[in-house]
Parts: sequence; C-alpha cells; structure tokens
Amino acid sequence: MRLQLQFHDIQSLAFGSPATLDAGTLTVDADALRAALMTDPRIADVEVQLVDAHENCRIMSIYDVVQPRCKIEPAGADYPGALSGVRASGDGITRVLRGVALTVVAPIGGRRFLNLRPPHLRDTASQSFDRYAGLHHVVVLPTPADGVTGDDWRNALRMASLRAGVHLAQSADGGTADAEEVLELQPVSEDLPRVAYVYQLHSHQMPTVPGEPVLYGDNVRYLLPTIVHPNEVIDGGLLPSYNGSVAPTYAVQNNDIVKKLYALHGKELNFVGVVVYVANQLPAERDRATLMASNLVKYTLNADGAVFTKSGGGAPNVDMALIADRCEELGVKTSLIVWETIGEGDTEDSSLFNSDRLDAIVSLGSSHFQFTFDAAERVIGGSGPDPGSEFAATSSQSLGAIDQLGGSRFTVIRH
Amino acid sequence: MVRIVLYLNQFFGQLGGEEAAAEPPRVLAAPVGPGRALTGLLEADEAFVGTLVCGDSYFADHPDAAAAACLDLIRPLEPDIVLAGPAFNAGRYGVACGTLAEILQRELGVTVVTGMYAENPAVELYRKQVVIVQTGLSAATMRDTLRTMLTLARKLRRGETLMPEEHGYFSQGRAMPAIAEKPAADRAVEILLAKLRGEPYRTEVVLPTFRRNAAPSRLGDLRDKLVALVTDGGLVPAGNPDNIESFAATRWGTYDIAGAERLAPEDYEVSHGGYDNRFVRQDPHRLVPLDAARQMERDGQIGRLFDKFVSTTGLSNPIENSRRLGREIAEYLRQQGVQAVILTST
Repeated sequence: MRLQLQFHDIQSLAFGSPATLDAGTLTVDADALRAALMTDPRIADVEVQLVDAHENCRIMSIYDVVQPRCKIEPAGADYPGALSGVRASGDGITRVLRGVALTVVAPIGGRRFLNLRPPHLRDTASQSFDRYAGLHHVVVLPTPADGVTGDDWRNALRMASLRAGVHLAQSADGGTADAEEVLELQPVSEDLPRVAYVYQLHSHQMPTVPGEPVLYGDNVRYLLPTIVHPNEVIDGGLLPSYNGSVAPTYAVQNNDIVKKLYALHGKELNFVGVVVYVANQLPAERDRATLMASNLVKYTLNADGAVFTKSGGGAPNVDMALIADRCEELGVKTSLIVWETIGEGDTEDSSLFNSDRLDAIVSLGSSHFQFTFDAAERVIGGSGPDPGSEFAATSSQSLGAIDQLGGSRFTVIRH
Repeated sequence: MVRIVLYLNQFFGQLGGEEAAAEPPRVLAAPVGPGRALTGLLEADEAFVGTLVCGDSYFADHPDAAAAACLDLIRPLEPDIVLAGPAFNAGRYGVACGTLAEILQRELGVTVVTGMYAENPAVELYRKQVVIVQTGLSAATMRDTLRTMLTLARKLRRGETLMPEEHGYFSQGRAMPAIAEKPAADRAVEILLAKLRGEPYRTEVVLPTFRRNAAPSRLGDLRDKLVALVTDGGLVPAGNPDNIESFAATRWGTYDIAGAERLAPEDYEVSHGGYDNRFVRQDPHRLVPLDAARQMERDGQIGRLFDKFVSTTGLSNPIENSRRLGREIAEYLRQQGVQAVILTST
C-alpha cells in the first residue's frame, strides 16, 4: 500500500468565483459550496464565513474540523463507505490543503469552541497549545431542514463536513503541490524493535447508531479487534464517531501516533501496523476485545512494543488498560496516553486503572483545569448576550486542548 | 519590611547537645548559629526579627503542646517568612520543622520553607504540605541551603510557581496545567522506545496507590434497620432542581420517596454524561431500585426504607471531591438515623 500526499499550503482566504487556489490564496466560492452541501435535502441552508488565522476570533458550537482533502487517484474514492461507496483507502494519491481547516458550526450538536488567541493559564498568557488556532478557517454553518433532528442531523453534519472538505480541496485542480510525502511501510532492518499502534476507535458508553460511519462506513457497533494499515487510518478509511471521541476528523486525518511512527520507521523502529478496536459496555465484550487485541499485537504483528490511545471518557480507560496490561504480560512493552481528572493544586490522582506494569503513561492534561480567554473581537456561532466577552472554560470544552490521539501539548506538571 | 524568623533546635540554637534536647521553646532576639549566616543573605527590605529555639525531645514528646507554645511565641514577632531548620538528616528535628511549618502556614498564613536530606523520614510526612528544600547530609552546606530556602520563600511570597527540579525542593505533587514542548504522541513513542531499549524513562502519570479502606463489619440482620438508597448515577427529579452537574458533580441531593411505591419515568431524568442512560430513563428502578426495596420492606427483610434517596454524579470526579461528597452524604445519613445503605453505581 503506497500513499502519496500532495500538500498545498494556504496562506490566505478570499471569497470569489470560481473557486481556485492561486499563489497560496484559496478563493472560496460560497454559492458553489452552499449548493454542494444543499444537495443533501436534510440541509435547508448554509452560511459560509472565512476566518484568518491571525484574527482575534472565537468559533462556538463546533461540530467538526476537517482538513480539506480529496483523492486524485483513484478519483472519487473520498471517505469510502461514508461519502463514496466502499472502496480502498490508503493507496494512490491524495491532495491535502495545509494551513486551513473546514470547520462546521452547529448550535445543535456542536459541543466545543475554539479561540484563535491562546488563553491565560494561572493568569499568565500561555503559548498556544491548540493546533486549530494556528489555521485559517472556512466556517460553514448549516441549518437543518424542517424535522431533521438528532442522529439524522448529526449524520447530515458529518457528511457536510466531509463533502465541504473535498469541495475545497478540488479548488486546487491544475495547481502544483508545494510538497509531497510518500507513505509506505517498506521492509526495514530486522534489528529494529517492532512497534504496533493500538487504537481505540470509539467507546460504546455512547453507542453508535445505524448509519454512523466510523470504519469504511461501518458503525463499529460489534467490531472485534482487527488490524488495519496506517494509511487506511489517515486516508479516510476511519472517521471519528459523532460523539465521545474528543478528536475531530482533522485529528484522525493527522493521527499523530501514525505520523510519529512513520517518521521513525526504518530509523529507530519498525512500524508493524495498527490494531483497531472499540471500548465496550459488557464484561464479556471487554474480555473478548482484551484477548483478541493483545493476541493480534503479540502473535500476529509480533510486536515488541505498542503505543495506546483511547477515545471517549472515563470507562474506556479500563478497556485500554486491560489490553495494555495483557500485552505486558505477554512480554510486549507499552506506553499509553490518557487525560487526567485531577483538580488544579490537588495532590491525589484519580485513575481508573492500576497496574505496576503500566509505567509509561503520557498525560494530556486534566479535564478540570480552567483557562481564561480574553474578549474576542469576532464571534461565530455564538449565542447569549455577549458571546465575545472574556470567559473561563475547562480544557474539555476547548476544542484542541485535549487530543486523545496525541496531537495536543497540554499536560499536567506536579510541583 | 519583610520580617523573617528562624526556627532552630537546641543544637543549632546553641542551647547544648542531647542534654539540652528537653528544653521547651523560647525566643532569642539575637541571631545565633545559622542565624548569623542568614543575616548576611538578607536584602535591604528584609529584617531578621528573632530565632525560635526548641529542644528536639521536647517537641517529639509533647508535639501538640510544643506546637501551640511555638505558635504563641512566634505570633508577636509578626513574621512574613519563617525558615525552619534546615534539619538535614535529623529525624526529630525534621518532624518538628514539618509540624511547625504546617501549623504556621495554616494558622498565621505565613510563608514557611524548611530543608531536609532526602532520607529524613519527615520528608515523606510533610512534603505535600510544606516546601522542603533538598539538603546535603550534613551542615557543611548550611549557607547554600539557607540561601535556597530564602530564595524559595521570596518566590512563594511573590506568588511564583516553583518547580521541584529547577528550584531544588521535594515535589509536593500538586497538579498544575502546563504546555509540553512536544505533542503527547511524540512523548508516547519516545517513552516506549526508551522502555524497549532499557534506557531510563519516567511516566508522566503515576498511578495512585489507593488507601485501603477496611470493609465495615457485617450488619447481620437488616430486619430492624433503616435502609437508604444512594446512587452516583445521576438520577434526579425532572428539571434537576438542585442543578446536579452531569460531569464531576460538586453537589448531591435528597429526593422524597416517602410512601412512593414506584419511580415514574416521567418524573425523573438523568444528569450524567458518562453512560448510555436510556435504560434508566425508561425505568429509573434500574438505577435506584425502589421497587425491589419496597418489596423487601413488605416482606420484612429490611426494617424500613429511608424516606429519601440520595443522588449525585460521579463521572470523572477528582478523588478529593468524591471523598468530600461521600463524607457529607455519610454524615447526613447518620444524622437521619440511617443504619444501612444500598449504593448503586453505573
């Protein structure tokens, strides 16, 4: 499997027609974009706004953030199983717009906000920890057609975010890429440690619904652990579930564990593959996933080490830890990424698992820490009397503060 | 002027050796021993206002009385900063410094810094509560240690955040937000590679060792007991009258079930964002088993069901908050005469 990524760097955004990408300026044809999204009868109207990365802007009620991408080869194989039919992903050529995000705002269903200016931590201005704050944003605000609610609306929003991203990426037709990268797991020295990535796709503490596309369009409701190629993860074969993942589509497309393991493949390690599984509700389901995932890591991928990420909230810590613990029992070394729930200034940790073997754990920060954001000059998607005012929020409300796939830099120190 | 007081044991306070260890506390106006070194380190706006000296054995044998006496002696000095010790590896002296530091911080709100050697048993006893500078084994490093203690005290007074490695004190383990240099993914792969190579690595999250709670003794017969239903699954009356948060609740509520046989689904909702609560909304007894409890009451298996059920939301709750909620609920139930609790979680 060989994936060629062609990167186009976006320096600025402008409205205009036709949609083009020229000398780093992405011209957005708002009418064409609206029309593309309103092919879905569940969407009654769409508003489009452009945000420059340097604006003092706050975007509220964010449903999803997507990196605009489209398949060049095979053409049309975008987000297989969701936007297109079930086709191969991870192979061929994919165009990627860098420096820009397609951001979907929906007062119903949007749960997090993004402040482009970094917050204050303990009253001092912080450096930005939020990857989405450094991007230009093409913001779309869809309005549901009468009677479209709940899961149906969330499906419409997911499809709109993917479709809009493809639409933007196609504006660059005929242009030359600024950079290229080829992702292929070439055979490497036998001496390098074999490293697997164990990726929890979803936690069924918030069960997925019929039609919710996660793995090639499947809703992974009864997914048993399986192995995928890392290219499938980042090239549209995988999508976040509607709920509970604490990672927008952008974070899946740019899965930082996959990127890091690729970067070190052949140099410091041998990236042997990705085990995907879901966190379950019932003990037998959990035990089955624990056995099968750890067996795949140890006996099919023959891994010496494995990196673990989780999804959802508290309970899926246990699913992750059980698999990691059994991997360690089988002689596979592990490291894990978790977010913490400790309060600021507290000394007592709370963790949902405990094992002496799980001794390499990276912190995503605590969901209870508060930031203060300065007043914003521009607010998109806000409501209430003064949505642009200075306000405090916890890290779990701020879009990019905690990326469970490892893309964020927020953490906890103990002093 | 920033007023500085030094606490010393009988030895450093020059009352004598072990033969003077039973001496009760007293204040010396003139600087003695380490106090003389300290005066040389002060800045123009700082004043040395006294030395409090107490025998190690006196403090160890009468900790409460000694601490109270020290507090009474220090209060009139109106200190802004108290430096205690350093105690190096002296166990009794270390405990005295730690005990006094904790009380002074709490009672007078004064900035206290002490200093000890890593193996001093008082380090583990007090480092969470008190800033303890890491010292060498012996008094040879006295001057440097005092300088560090004074520097940290000044920073604390200015509200600066101390970092254990940078500032040379024992980590208090207090959680603070920070921004790491590299994304979590990079750190996770790097820590794994170190582990695979047998190189040293350090986890960012140390899994807690939980205090072992002894199981309470069996109640035996419940036929004469008042029994309450308690849940952390977030069942609340429709409208959530107490605004119990759906995540890491800080509040708990009591809800009347006197005379009620059943919980009607339309009368209740769930304030909990961490589980699929459709089944509870369909039938609240799946979380708060009033139906079964009433049957047991009728059958005489329990004496009587308490007239209210207690509810809160446990989801992702910091332990310190959970412990407070638990204590408050237990105190309430005990006051109400409840003798047994059926605790249902999710």
